[in-house]
Amino acid sequence: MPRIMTVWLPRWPVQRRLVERPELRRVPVFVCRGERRGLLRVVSWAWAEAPRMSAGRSRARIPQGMPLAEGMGVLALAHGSRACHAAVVEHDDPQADRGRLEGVARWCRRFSPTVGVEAVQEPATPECIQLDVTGTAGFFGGEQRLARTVAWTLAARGLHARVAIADTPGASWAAAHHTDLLNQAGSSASGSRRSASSSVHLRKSFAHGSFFRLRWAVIPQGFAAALLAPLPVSALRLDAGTMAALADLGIESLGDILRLSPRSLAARFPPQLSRRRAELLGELAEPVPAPADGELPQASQAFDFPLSLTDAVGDTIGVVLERLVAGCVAPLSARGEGVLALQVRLEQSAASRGADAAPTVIDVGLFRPSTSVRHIAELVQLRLSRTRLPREIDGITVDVVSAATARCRQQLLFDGEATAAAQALDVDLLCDRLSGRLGRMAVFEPGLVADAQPEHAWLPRPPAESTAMPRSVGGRQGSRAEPRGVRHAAAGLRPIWMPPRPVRLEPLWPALAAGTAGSGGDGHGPPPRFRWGGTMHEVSRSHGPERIETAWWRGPIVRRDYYMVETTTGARFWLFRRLRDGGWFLHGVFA
Amino acid sequence: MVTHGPFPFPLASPSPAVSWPSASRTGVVTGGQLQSRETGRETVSSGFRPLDTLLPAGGVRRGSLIEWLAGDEAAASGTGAVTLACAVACRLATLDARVGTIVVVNRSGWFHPPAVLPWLIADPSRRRKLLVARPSSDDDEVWVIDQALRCPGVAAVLAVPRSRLATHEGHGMPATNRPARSHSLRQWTTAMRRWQLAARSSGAVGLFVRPESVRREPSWAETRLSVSALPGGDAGTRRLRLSLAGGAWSATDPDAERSVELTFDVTRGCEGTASDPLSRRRPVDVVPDGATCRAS
Repeated sequence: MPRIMTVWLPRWPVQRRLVERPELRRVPVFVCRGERRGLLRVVSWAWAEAPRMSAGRSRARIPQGMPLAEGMGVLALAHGSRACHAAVVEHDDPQADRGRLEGVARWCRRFSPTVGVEAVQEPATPECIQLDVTGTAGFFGGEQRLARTVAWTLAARGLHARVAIADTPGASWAAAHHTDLLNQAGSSASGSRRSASSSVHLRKSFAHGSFFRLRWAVIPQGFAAALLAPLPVSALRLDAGTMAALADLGIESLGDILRLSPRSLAARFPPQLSRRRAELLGELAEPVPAPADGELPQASQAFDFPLSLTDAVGDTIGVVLERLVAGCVAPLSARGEGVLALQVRLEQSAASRGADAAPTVIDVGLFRPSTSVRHIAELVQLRLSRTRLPREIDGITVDVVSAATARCRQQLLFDGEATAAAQALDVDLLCDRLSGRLGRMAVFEPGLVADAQPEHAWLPRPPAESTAMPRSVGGRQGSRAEPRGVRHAAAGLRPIWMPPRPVRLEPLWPALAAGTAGSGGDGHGPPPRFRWGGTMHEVSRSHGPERIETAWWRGPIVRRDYYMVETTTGARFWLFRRLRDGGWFLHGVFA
Repeated sequence: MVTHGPFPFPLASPSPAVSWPSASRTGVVTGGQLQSRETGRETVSSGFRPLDTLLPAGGVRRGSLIEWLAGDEAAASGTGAVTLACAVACRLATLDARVGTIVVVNRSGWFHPPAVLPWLIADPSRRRKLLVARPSSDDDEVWVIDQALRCPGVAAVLAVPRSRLATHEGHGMPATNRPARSHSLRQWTTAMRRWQLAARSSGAVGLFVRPESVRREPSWAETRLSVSALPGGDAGTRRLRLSLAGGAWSATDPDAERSVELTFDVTRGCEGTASDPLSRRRPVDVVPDGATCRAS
């Protein structure tokens, strides 16, 4: 019996944008499709860092296909009109969505060699990746560990995924879309010691709670019909008309459908329903779809004998890698494309791994597509030098995960422009090298954000993004992540050295002399002395206060009075008094 | 058996009959040739006239290293050395005919870009770029600085290496950002020589802010400047005192100025005037007894 894993990336059109531009996480994002007369319908929407809802209020629910104007109205009712002002609206780009999803699918080849993106009818956007994991789960310690590994590995890359493994693509699709319901059912069965099935094995599994979690589910072989029965009919991948017809007849769950005879279903409903039912139960074969736009190049080298990596074979590996990378780059460059991301898999030898073990996988990403074999091989070597390698390997596979059109530049006549272009390329290569060794999150280009709260006044952006700001609806540049009415503070008025979190100070207030109009922390100025870094600082002058009241939408409101204080030695610090409790904090050093 | 000092072979002065091969033929560079090679490189103004008078070349020489010594705790001392080094880096990027990239090596994670970014985006006609790299270990930090200095598209590299912030136990520095150990002197000297060669090959300028405590250590920097803050100035300006504290070419001109004062307009990242009326808000003097009054 085959085993199929479905990885569902909910609201993929929005999720893709949030991964590419993390600053959008702070605001509501709508991806809309334009229709006649300029009507915009919501394809997908999300607010990743939505404010906490007060008691008695629920989050906005905006279904797919709702007109944007109505969606904004729902958002305003739930979160206030300011949320609508901050919202970012973008046109949908199904091709880009599909292309990125296929990139994720290629990245998932580490889990199975047979990976594909679900087939959907236009204009719907695919959101699922399906993998044939028959026989490969053992490499990862079993199906449950595999599902958990996939979910959390994707989460580490900023992707929210729901994962399910079942006998058929249809069953795994249904389970992946309702892991929350399955988790609830599993918990209740575990708590009440009753299960949906009479199987002793299944009851024990429920008791241990080992099959269902919020992010993943594993349907044991032969139990798809029993376990998926409580799910709604939408789990059967039906169109809206068929679901409406089922609802008219009071058929609400998969169990209701499975109880009806196939002949009866075929006579009363469109053929889609019978087909989906048969696919769910495995009566009709449904192959895992292959990536649509052709395979990206792959090159591999198998060794006759296991190659020991403990010996000094760095040069050997380097030569092999360079040859494999060249084999991948050549077909891409012939069609004007370059490598954007690739995966190197070191297949462990049977003697080395002892038991089943997954291959060592190294991911290499570039900020711009490259056709330079030397540069890519250097990046791979950088990652190899920081990876714990197996003792022996049987072979190496280089797999291009993502490719894009390479920028070809005509040679320039004048030396100045040619030099500038070459040096811009040098900086791009530097970014690749630095991120190859330090990690992609450790190299960034800071961008200003008009947020009054100092710690949120900037965001790290990938270096490549500086020249390619996506266009939003109405031709505006994609920077509406900034609330209106907030301006950037002038340079110099903000410290250049700021701790990630404000550091609580213990101000030393002098004893109040009788009849002296002292402050003593009553809100009329900074403390005359404070201790920080093992040194007592005597404040001679101060500038301020600069009151900052903001971030009501992020949780507790921030209310602070900032002072730029100058010590007797001329050193300057940035202190603030928290208005809520009068506590003093150091929030920066004018270093 | 006759021994000759610590060496296992006799030390003898070369006889007049022996002719030394010429430097040009063997590739050996003499001190005079080295100095002329150094002085032949492009020199640009730092944007601060008092600072230019202090620098041996009358400005910042491309492909050189400059060390800024600031207080006991370098960046944590609040003297303004990091801000001044950033302003010089921005100036170098502006004068660069190319993209003008500044790389900030931010080991501690305390670098706050909004203090600098407005200087860079003030003139949209110039393409300037600020890259921040966050190494997590000493080796990575040395490697990142070396790679950045070696890149021809980089105008300046700003780093606060060998941070003493590690001694600030319980003062907000996250444990993961604390350097586990500082470079040994030997490693540091070797790394700095590598950086010097890297900077020479590309023309990038390395700007390193370090604590005063390293003043006695040898350095490959062309200039070593001690920065101390002076009381006074308003919110938008700072008064700083710079003094020569060593460096490769510090002794070449004995008549050179050894110490200068400058006024730093921190809102624009350039030299300011002492009576700059940028800040309309008057400072508040804090009297020792804790009572505050607005300055007249």
